Amino acid sequence: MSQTKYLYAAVILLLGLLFMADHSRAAEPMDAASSGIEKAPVTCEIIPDEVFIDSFYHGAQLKITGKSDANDEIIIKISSPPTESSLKFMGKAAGLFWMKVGDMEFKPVSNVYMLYTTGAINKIASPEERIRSLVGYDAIKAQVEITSSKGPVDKDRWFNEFIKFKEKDKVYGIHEGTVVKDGKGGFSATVDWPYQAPPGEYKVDVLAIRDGRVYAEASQKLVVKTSGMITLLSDLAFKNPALYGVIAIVIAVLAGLGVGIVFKGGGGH
Amino acid sequence: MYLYLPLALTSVNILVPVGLGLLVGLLSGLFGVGGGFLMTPLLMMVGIPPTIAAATDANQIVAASATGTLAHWRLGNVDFKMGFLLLVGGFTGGAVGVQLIKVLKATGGADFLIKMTYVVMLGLVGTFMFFESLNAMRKAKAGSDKAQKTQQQATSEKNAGAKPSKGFMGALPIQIYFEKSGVTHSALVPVGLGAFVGILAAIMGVGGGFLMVPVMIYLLRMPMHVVVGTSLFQIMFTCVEVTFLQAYTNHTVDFVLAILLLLGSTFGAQIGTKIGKKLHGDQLKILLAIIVLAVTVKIVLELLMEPSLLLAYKGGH
Repeated sequence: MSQTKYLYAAVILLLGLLFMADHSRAAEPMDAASSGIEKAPVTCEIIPDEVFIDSFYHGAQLKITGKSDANDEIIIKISSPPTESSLKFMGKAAGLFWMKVGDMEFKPVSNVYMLYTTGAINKIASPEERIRSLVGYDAIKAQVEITSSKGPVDKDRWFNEFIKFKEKDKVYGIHEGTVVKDGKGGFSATVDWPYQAPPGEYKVDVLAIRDGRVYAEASQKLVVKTSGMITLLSDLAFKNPALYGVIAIVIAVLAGLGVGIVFKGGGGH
Repeated sequence: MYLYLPLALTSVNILVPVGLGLLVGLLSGLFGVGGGFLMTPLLMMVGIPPTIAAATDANQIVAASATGTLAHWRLGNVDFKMGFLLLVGGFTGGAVGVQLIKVLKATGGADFLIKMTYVVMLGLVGTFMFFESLNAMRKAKAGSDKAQKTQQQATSEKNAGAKPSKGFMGALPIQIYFEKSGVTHSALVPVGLGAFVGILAAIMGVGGGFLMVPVMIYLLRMPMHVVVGTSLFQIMFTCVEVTFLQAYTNHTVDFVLAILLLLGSTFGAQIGTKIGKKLHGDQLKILLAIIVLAVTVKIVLELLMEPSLLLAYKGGH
């Protein structure tokens, strides 16, 4: 009787394991199957994969490495989740003065978008592949919708202005030819992570390209977060703003009076 | 060495804000202005978001004006009675100005009004001060007879100041003699003028010192040395109010940036006060006029020339 119990238990356990294995396998290749992209042949590692913003933070240097077929072209894409970006736009008021004249929305766009490649993207990836994998500014332009509080907009003009604005802020950039291959399938890229990129979670996609098509890809998460005094002050400012305001005033007054006293001693008013 | 600013979410070389603080603090001690009309655009130029720049600037002005007020108080240059009445008006006007901006922001006309107010007010004040000081300096060069005459004129002006103002201002009730400044005015005059400057200061997002100083000199007829100390006293309280409101409602006071700025500005204000003692009143006025006019020209050029970037983050004026 007890033997039968064990048998039932073993069968149930086995069925459970089979179900779980099948379920996880069914969930994973769905994307790959639907996109026709393999997951395995390319790997990706980011060092470090967590960036801490402390008091002396001025950006960070990241090393992205991986392995692929030696003949592959590689594109590394770092991006934040797509969202709606709402900005002010400049125009002429009263036909003479340049100033902010309205709001403009861009959606969907990433707040951070950086590409690192083994070569010129229009040579290593076909136009269709670039659109499908969201590689390059043309691919972003193809999917972005631009609306303005002042009516219809010239999409080409304002998309170019958007890229110019983001590149000036160093959160957008296309760095062609910066991924180095070792000839044995290994590749690496050095990324100067800009301090302008806000805390958050970023996705690093490595695309392996053969004959102009992305045939394999790997993804990793990059986390940027505040730490120490930065977290403390930020929390105080948002969670206890009255206390934060009073502290700011008291320290300013004390600093002012303190310097005044120091100068009295040295300067002799 | 770089420091990360927790609310501005940007990194700056420590020498940049300390240097800016020193420069603006020097002007503060020298002229009795808070320097907001200079510091906010300078901070924006080094990459600080506009809302953070304006609010944090108010916080550092608290320190600069506190040390400046202390230095001028020791020299006997603060008219607390006049300063208090100007402050009452300034607080009231500031509240009215903030509401006005709120309404205009909703209707989309705020940006235009702010820029135009800057150009008109800075242009008028700067031009007037420049020519007035130039004339005074030319007269002062006309020899010892003239100098004696000026001395007599100053004495007679001081005596005249002890009497109530003539005309409309003299007919107003609650006439008060301000011993420190040697002038007599209705209490309604400094309150009214303080309110007017408060409205303009709220629209322009500054402490209002560069407007208050000419008002004290030309409308309240206060002597230059008392004007500087009294202006700093009034600015200190205005900026305490603005710092608290900005920190409480908008979370835009970056404490780390403020400390870096005030490191420079507190020393700058002390140095400015010492230099100011060695300069003649008209020399001070003409220097301030040149700075005000230079800022006006810069704003006009910015308005007329196409900017390199046609998009900007939301927030700020």
